[in-house]
Amino acid sequence: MLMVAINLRGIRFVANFNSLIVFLQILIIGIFTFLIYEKLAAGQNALGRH
Amino acid sequence: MDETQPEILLLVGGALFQSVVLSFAIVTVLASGIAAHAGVSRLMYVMGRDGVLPKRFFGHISPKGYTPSYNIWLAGVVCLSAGFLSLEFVVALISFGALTAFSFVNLSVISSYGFRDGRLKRPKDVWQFFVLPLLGFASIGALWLEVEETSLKAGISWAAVGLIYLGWLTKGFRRAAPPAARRGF
Repeated sequence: MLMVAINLRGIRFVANFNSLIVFLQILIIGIFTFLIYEKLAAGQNALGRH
Repeated sequence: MDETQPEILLLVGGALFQSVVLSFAIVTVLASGIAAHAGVSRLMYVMGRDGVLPKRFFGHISPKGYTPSYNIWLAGVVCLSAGFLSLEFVVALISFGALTAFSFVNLSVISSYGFRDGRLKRPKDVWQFFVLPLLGFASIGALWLEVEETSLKAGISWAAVGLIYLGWLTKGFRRAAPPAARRGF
């Protein structure tokens, strides 16, 4: 029903809403990549040990 | 989401980061659903506008938001039925639909540009309008060989419903379907 409500607002709203989500996704990917790099650079392995 | 990903998220970002990303994964599914919902409602609108589907319902545009509101509601109701269907059945229908659509897109390029418009004179055009779509069709043909029996049964049943409706619409295939009829085909 949330999808219906968003779609009823019009295609421009749908496009803006999805763009926002894509932007946040990219942001999360960026943070995730940075954290992975940071931990690997600090010598952390899969078991969490340094 | 893969089972290993939550573990990695917890390891590198802690519990809060893991919760944020996992919550956002659900929002991402919502975004995907919204895009599909927008597409399918407008596809039904075009079919309604062209007279393939009943125009009064499917060709309706809301004067308030200029959206195909009836189609949006219909797609929403059909989406709710997903809760009562097995994931395997839904995936089977999607696989069949996607492969059928992609197959016919390739065949349509050959038929429309290659033969109907007669654009197979230059080598570049033969490459673009015959060889490439033929290769596309062949690669999808390879995927057809991998389709499960459930997909075939569900897809062929749904296609049969469409074929019966088309037969009724074209008075037993003696008339062209509405959009083609309007263009004089």
